[in-house]
Amino acid sequence: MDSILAALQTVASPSILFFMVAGTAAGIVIGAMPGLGSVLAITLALPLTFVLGPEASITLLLGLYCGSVFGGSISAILINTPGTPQAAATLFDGYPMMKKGKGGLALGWATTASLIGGLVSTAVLVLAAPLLARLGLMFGPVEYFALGLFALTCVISVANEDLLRGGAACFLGLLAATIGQDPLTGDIRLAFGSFELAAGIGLVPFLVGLFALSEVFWRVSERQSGMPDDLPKSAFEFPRAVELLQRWKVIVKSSIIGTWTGILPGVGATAASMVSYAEAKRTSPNRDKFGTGEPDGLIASEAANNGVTAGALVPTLSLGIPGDPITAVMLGALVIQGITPGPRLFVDNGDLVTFIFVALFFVNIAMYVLGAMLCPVFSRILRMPEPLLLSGVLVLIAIGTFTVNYNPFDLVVALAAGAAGFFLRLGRFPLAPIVIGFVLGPMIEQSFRQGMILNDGNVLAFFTQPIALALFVLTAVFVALPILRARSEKRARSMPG
Amino acid sequence: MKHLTMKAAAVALSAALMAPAAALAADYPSRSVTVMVPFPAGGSTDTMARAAARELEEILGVNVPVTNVGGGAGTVGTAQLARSRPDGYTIGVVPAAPLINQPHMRETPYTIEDFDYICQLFYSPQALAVKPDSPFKSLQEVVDYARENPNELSYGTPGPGSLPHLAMEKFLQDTDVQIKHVPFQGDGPGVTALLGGHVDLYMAIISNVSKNDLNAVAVFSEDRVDAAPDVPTSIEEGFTTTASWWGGVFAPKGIPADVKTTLVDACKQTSESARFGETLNGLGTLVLFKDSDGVRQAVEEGSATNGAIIERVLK
Repeated sequence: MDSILAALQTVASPSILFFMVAGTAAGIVIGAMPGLGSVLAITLALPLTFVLGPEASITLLLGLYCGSVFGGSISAILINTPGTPQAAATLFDGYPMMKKGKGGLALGWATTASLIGGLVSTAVLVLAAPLLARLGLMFGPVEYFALGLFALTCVISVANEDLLRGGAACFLGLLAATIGQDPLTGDIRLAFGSFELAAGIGLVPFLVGLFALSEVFWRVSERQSGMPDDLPKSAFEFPRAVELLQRWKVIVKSSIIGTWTGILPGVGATAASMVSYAEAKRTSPNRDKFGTGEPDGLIASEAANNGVTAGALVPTLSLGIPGDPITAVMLGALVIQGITPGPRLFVDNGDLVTFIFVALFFVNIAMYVLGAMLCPVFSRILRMPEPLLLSGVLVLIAIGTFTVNYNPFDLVVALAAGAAGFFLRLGRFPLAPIVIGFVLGPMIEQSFRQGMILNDGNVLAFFTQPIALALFVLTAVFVALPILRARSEKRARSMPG
Repeated sequence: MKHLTMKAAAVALSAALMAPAAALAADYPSRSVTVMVPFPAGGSTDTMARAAARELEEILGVNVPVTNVGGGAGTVGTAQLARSRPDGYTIGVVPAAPLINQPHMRETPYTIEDFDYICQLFYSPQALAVKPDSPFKSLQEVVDYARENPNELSYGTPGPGSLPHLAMEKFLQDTDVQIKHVPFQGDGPGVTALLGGHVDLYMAIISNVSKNDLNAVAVFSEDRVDAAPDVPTSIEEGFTTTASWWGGVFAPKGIPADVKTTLVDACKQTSESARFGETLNGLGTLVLFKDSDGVRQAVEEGSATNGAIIERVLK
């Protein structure tokens, strides 16, 4: 209790408050810029952490982390481009809402869902970090494979009616993800003798090209613009409390899925939001409207990706193993401060752990307030004359893509992905399944092949592991259910009375 | 007007490009020195590079920013380092793998001949960790069991062709036993899999052993390591294999001789800094300074040894 009071006192000090607000606001802005993402935000702040004390550094990094994960949803909703990869699933329903003229409300839902996702996962972190870290260890290659497969089913909902095109797009994403070094043998695949391609295709250039650049091409080609003619009057609109209560199940479940996925090292927030989206599509009362601008879909993605933030801190703090690339950078910052995360952290640095929990709680609150303040600014930017807007987006795309790795080849990837995206749009292929395949492919492939090595090539052994089996069953039900339901509806219609 | 601006820009650009060449090497360093890291921010190499950059900043008296150029198991950044201007204003903190392993696995636009070697700065012996409830108490027990039950045990590594993978394969070759290899995408997922008992063994740098309270049956070094004083060495156990993860400061080929001398001196001072030593200890890594010739020899030997193992295991 004393340590909580002490932590509250530290958080309330002016310098910590300053870094909290500055970090969160900067995180939101960086996250909202297509291509500029969480890792960049935190890497930029790393040199600062050398001179700041541990508390200020941690607050700054947490602010940037949570802010940027949320910020990515802003551009996903407003311009059909995930600002960060974590927001890829947000645009499945976020942008359709925008097109219906409900952009303000979509932003409001994203902000609210992010807040709740963040708070739920913080609560989980406070209550059960060491326990959960141990539970997370039960997930081995076979369980990862089952989880990846389950997440892949969200292609079905994103593809809407056109399962053939959706499936083809997903296959394209899976294929693109196999370019580069084979994760098990080290062989180079599909590189066509190019050294650059041998390193594989980066997620950021791929995503930014596919969505943002192809959108620019689309509008420049003067095809029917995806934008509504009259932008929503209210730039930011909080969801009504009644509706929030109606949707509490989706919010809480998605937050928990996000937290849990965050705990598993190497899965990440992008995949987490897809798992959550697939699960919401399975159980939400509004599942039929998914992919057409249904708030439940948006909520599922946003609550989950912000749930990952605290979830990823679980193994980072209690095992010393970062849950994702962003917590890896934070871990590095902690080590430089002389703090070694790991099983002993909770004993040796109990006060600091308490401080991290308290700071994370307030960072989420700050994110909510600042999000509500900053979103209208971004929607106003959209009212710029189109040529200005498009050239601005173009500059951002180039900068964002280049600064990830300072690798000129990434610009080539973005351009190629942009061209591919444009032609796929022409052929009326949905783009989202490509990203789903691209993000989940490596996880599915690697865990499957690891499982095959461990089980001596016996695929049946996969079904003897209870957690994996449960996930396989869920996946099968998810795939079969729409077919069965359609059939029973037909029967119901043909029955008299 | 448009053309004029273009011309002005071109003039400015070429002036900017000429400037470094015009500056005398004797003034070195007269502006900031960029440290390139061929791995993303947050990894062991990056943390090490940032700790080194902090020391170099004080020693050289200029800013020493760190840039991360990740991808392709470190080859993308290493290739970029080989291509950069050899004026001493771009140096790399690079672990050995992109130099001594990857060129044997893929076509890289560089060879080990394309670098000026400044110094080795760090190393961490590798250790064989066992899963939490493992019955194995010594390296000999692992070898005996594996000899009777070939390909039943499994060992994890942070990736195919990584230093731990090749070290373990060398050990398996030396002892003539078979253990299944399960590569992971880095130590994070890999160590978690070991902690969860999904693999029996994991080859890791000793820091991961001490940091995560893992049990290790042996550390592959001549002497015991302070971070894990209870872990016996492979030599003590009667084996001959030693293995470490190591790296240092490298520059593109052709930097001026006096610039190189300045950098080697700065490197030596860095290795003597108590603060640097502490940060490395926090990572479970040890400071080991080797001068230019020493590190070049280590790279050449490592490349020959690992090239042979890769040829046998991965081809």
